[in-house]
Amino acid sequence: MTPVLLLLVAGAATPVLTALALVALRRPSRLVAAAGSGAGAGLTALAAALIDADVFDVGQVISSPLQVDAVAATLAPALGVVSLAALLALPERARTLASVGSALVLQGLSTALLLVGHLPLLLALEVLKIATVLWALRGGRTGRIAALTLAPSAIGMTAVTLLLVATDGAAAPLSTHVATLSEHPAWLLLLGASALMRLGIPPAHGWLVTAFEELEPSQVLPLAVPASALVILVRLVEPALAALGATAHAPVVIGALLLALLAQGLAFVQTSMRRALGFSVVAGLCVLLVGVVDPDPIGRVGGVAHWGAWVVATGGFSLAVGAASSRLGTIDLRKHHALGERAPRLGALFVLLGFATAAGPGTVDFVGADLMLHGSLGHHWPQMALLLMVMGLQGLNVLRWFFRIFYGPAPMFADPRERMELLPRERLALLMVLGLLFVGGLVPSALPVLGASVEP
Amino acid sequence: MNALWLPFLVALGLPFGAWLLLGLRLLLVLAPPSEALIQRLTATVFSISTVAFVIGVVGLLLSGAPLPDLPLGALVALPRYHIALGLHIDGLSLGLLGLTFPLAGLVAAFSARYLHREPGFSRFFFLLMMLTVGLELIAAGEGLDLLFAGWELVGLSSALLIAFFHRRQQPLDHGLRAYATYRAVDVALLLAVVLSHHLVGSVSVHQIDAWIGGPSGLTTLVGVLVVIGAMGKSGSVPFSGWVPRAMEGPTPSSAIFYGALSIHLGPFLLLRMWPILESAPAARALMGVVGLLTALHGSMVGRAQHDIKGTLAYASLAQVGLMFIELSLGFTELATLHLFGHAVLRANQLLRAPSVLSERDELLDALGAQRPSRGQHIERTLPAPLRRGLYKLALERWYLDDLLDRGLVGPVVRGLEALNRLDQRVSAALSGPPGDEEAAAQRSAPRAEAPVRPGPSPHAAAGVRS
Repeated sequence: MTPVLLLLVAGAATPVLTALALVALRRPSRLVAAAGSGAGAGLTALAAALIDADVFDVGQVISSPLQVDAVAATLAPALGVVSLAALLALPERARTLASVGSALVLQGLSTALLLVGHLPLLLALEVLKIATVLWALRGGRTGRIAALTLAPSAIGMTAVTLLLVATDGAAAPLSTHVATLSEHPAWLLLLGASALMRLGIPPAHGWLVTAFEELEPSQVLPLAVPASALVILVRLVEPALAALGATAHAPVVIGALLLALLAQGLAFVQTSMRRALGFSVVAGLCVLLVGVVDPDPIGRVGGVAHWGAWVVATGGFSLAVGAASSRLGTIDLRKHHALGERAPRLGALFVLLGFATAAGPGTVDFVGADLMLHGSLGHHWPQMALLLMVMGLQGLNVLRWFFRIFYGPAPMFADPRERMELLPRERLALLMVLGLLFVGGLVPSALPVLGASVEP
Repeated sequence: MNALWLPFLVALGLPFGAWLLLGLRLLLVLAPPSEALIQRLTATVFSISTVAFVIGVVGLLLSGAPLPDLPLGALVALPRYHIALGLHIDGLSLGLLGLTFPLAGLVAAFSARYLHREPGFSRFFFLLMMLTVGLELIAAGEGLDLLFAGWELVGLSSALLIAFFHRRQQPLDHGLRAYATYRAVDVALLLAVVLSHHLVGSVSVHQIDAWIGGPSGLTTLVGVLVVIGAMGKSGSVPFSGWVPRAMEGPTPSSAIFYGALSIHLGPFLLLRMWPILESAPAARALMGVVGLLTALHGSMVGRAQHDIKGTLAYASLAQVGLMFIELSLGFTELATLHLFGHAVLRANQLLRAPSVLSERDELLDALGAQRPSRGQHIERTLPAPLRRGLYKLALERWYLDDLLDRGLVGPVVRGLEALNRLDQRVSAALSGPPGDEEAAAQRSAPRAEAPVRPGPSPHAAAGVRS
């Protein structure tokens, strides 16, 4: 096993081992959890730094059943950083063994999913992840809705996997399964639909939005934001679609963009900030879909870069929303809360991270979005217009939310001298994410996917 | 690197550095910097930038040759595509930069006194620097990608400055409206940037300048999109609603944005993309129609304004409308002169606007009598019913905002709200019996644990452990 693979496997295993240690200690120690998560993130970042960009390519399998490519090398560190930030920013009242443990396990599983190039193992990890998500959401409204959505998704993915294994054999490489899928459009449709349900693409978005409404954003992040089901789309569905011809992508792209626009519109009319955030995340997931299924190599590179940037930006922004709601309680967007005078730094980070989610200039997502626009989207201006409208609406939403939460007439009885500024751990989490976004924006070629050669 | 670039690099780099420095200071250190420090910083930066710029211009004039582009590397370099970074300075850039540095410096000096002891003093200067950096990118960016990045920075700083006095509801609503307009039309601009790549083969300003093409479907599409992008920033009809609302911001920002610089970015963009527009008769026709309507709108509505800043805002709109007409007819040099002359005049008028009443009183004292009635020639020639109708039309700003709100935004928002209610009903049906909702609502309600209220120190919060 190459050193890079070793580092990535260690990066995936460390958070899981940390979770087990915490269970053994029966203490949800934030310090230990952060150390484990940070170590995982650090190992994956080190692996990404060591990757020889000339050797690794998007989709290239190195050493079955494990593989490393530009997708894994780009996403793994991003997941690690967001997981670490989520643990640091987790409010005290939500810091339980269950929430900390499940966050660490999900970090490990999400990283592992990126490294697997063997179908049964891929499926096993995804089903395990779904089980972890359902366990974390057990009880309450969210758990019920999630069960109704994620369980069929797991069943669908399992069914297709069994069919493929029966046809091609358990040890067959992914490329063989891709060819089989392209010969069986019904299986491809089932697998794709299952993956989309897992992601939370509308109409299967209910559990995601409700989760943001009920739980702390830092608890929901590990469940949803890594968007690991995209791995199934990248490794299996997209190549099979490509084999069917370029026109096969068009309905997916147009559908995803229309759904993204609808989700952003729904985010605009929400009265609860948490629900609005949920719909914003759903819209972001739809846009991710557009990037990773692009038949054009430039667009696909942009899609993967956008995926990594979105994970970090959305993670950071969700944490900022969480910090604001831990100070204000339920944030009603029909009125102003004037938090800015009491927490100016939180306000500044909120708006900066928010605009990072809208591909603001200077952030790494600006580069990702630019590449997506110069991919196959660039030849279809109506689709381009839809994508730009989604991003434009995200920026508008962010500013509107900022004005409602941080500006406006001060609520009655609110003392403007009262300080509600970020705690040091919250500040560290948000600044870490922000720094990564802007440093990545200045030196985007450091991202493995942008340093790797593009497929011919 | 050509040595002539050195003074320009100093001129461009200093505001950028100051912006970053101020931003980091505000983000990382809780106590805002002192007014004196900010004053000294901005005065130094703008003074040196202006002097360096002048030295650069003199050097260019003496050399007699155009300045070659300065490549600054590539943001991304893939085998088949790269995002290049670079600087490009031509006559148009020099004009905009020549306005930016001294005007921004003057406004900074004015604001140091105007906003003395005002809450948000440091925020204002951060946003002013942000505007300057945005204008630098628009003026001197080598590629349309950089131009668009600058465009976004200008738009965001504009919206945040309109909402500067954030303790009142109205500035926030107006800032949001302005930003919504920008975001909507920026879709057109970014589409134009991407499609230019297909048309010209590059997004480089240099290559666009050198492009020679004929009319085609793509040329027309790019041209029309550029015009729409320009219309938003310039407040042309039907996107004019935000301009008078933008006067909510501090007077110095109104002067620099809506008098001098930001509002003229529309014509600037049209001049920058002129080689493409020249081959797009449909786009030029659109320019002409929009310009005519905007000039009429600005003149008419300006006459019904009751405050000086509103009057000046509409006067600016009218002049920008005329610039659109000049460009549609191909008079690029006239439009350029008009642009820069108007920018200086209007900035001066807006900066003097707060003193207009006292100046009027001084004039009346000097005259010793009422001023003779002037103007209103057009109004006097119209029959009274028509005059009343037009006055109402002017007061209502041609009902453009109503049409937009009731005809477009309102129905869309109502549709989305209906969809949202449906979504909530489906979620409620899927999530189980109503009793569970109460438990879930309790989980999402403000907690018994107090939010962080650290008192004198962030670490002294009761019951909150770090």
